Amino acid sequence: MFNKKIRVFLKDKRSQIGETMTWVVATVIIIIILLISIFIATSYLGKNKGTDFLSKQSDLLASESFFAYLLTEDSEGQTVHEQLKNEENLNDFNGNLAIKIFDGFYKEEYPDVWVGIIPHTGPLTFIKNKYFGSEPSGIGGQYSWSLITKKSHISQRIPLNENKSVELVLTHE
Amino acid sequence: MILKNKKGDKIISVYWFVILFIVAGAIVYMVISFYGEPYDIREAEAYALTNKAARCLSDAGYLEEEALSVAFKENFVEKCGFNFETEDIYNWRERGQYYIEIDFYDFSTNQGISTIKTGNEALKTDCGLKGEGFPVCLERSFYILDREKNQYQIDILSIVRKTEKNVQ
Repeated sequence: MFNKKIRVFLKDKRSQIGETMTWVVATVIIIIILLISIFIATSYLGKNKGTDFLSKQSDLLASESFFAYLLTEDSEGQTVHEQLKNEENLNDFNGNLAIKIFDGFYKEEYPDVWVGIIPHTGPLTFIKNKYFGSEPSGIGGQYSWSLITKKSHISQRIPLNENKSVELVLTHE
Repeated sequence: MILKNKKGDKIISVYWFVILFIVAGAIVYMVISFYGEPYDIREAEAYALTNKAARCLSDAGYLEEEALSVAFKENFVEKCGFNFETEDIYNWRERGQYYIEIDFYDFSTNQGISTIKTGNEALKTDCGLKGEGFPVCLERSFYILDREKNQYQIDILSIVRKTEKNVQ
């Protein structure tokens, strides 16, 4: 009878210790999770808030530069807009001018700058030119890629005629 | 045994209250520390100043005819509708919190033609210094033609200080 009582007492004690250990571990886990949340809230989220609205949808200065670029005349008095309308692609005058303006002014801010011609027929394609390459990075008709790389684009498109447009694409993170 | 169980229940209840207070306290601390940090909007302000200056200098895509005149230079703030007034705290009124400098260059030769300066020029000395207590400096350029098709490069430097309210 006495032995049985001791056995019950010991069993009770053991289950109590087990239960207590469970709660101690649970408490430690709760406190660790809270500490991690506090660390993230104070050191990362708090410091980086409020800058989302700066993510650019347009760039006024680049647009102004693009309009002025298209109005620039060569030695024969023909504007860049007219040249691009009549020719297949960028020529030495307007290609080098585009490099000087857009690479010169905006390359630091936007890692990828592209100026070129886009045909209106079929899916979105970019006509390769020797000044800016084949296409802006992260586009090429594959918008999903730009989502993966978190790149976003600012573009300015001016129609040349019913078949093609000239486009400025600025890509930033 | 029943008495012992009741005592255990009491301890568990106290434990739950302690956990509840710890969790609630941690959430309150997180909310305070998140919303207590100020929004640093000085970069946005500098962009707004730059865009306003660019809009003022451009007339239907061409350089504003008067932009290089002495009268325009002297009355730049009024002509472009800038307002550099600030709240009368942290001694902000005595030390201007804004500065704009616009440099006109000949695009082909890169020679300086004219400069417009307005605001607290002393802020310029802190540009390029890294750290939270320094003003935000934004320097951007654009290309423009005048009506005679002369080419210009315009550099706009916008500086916003207001560190006391934007950085803690």
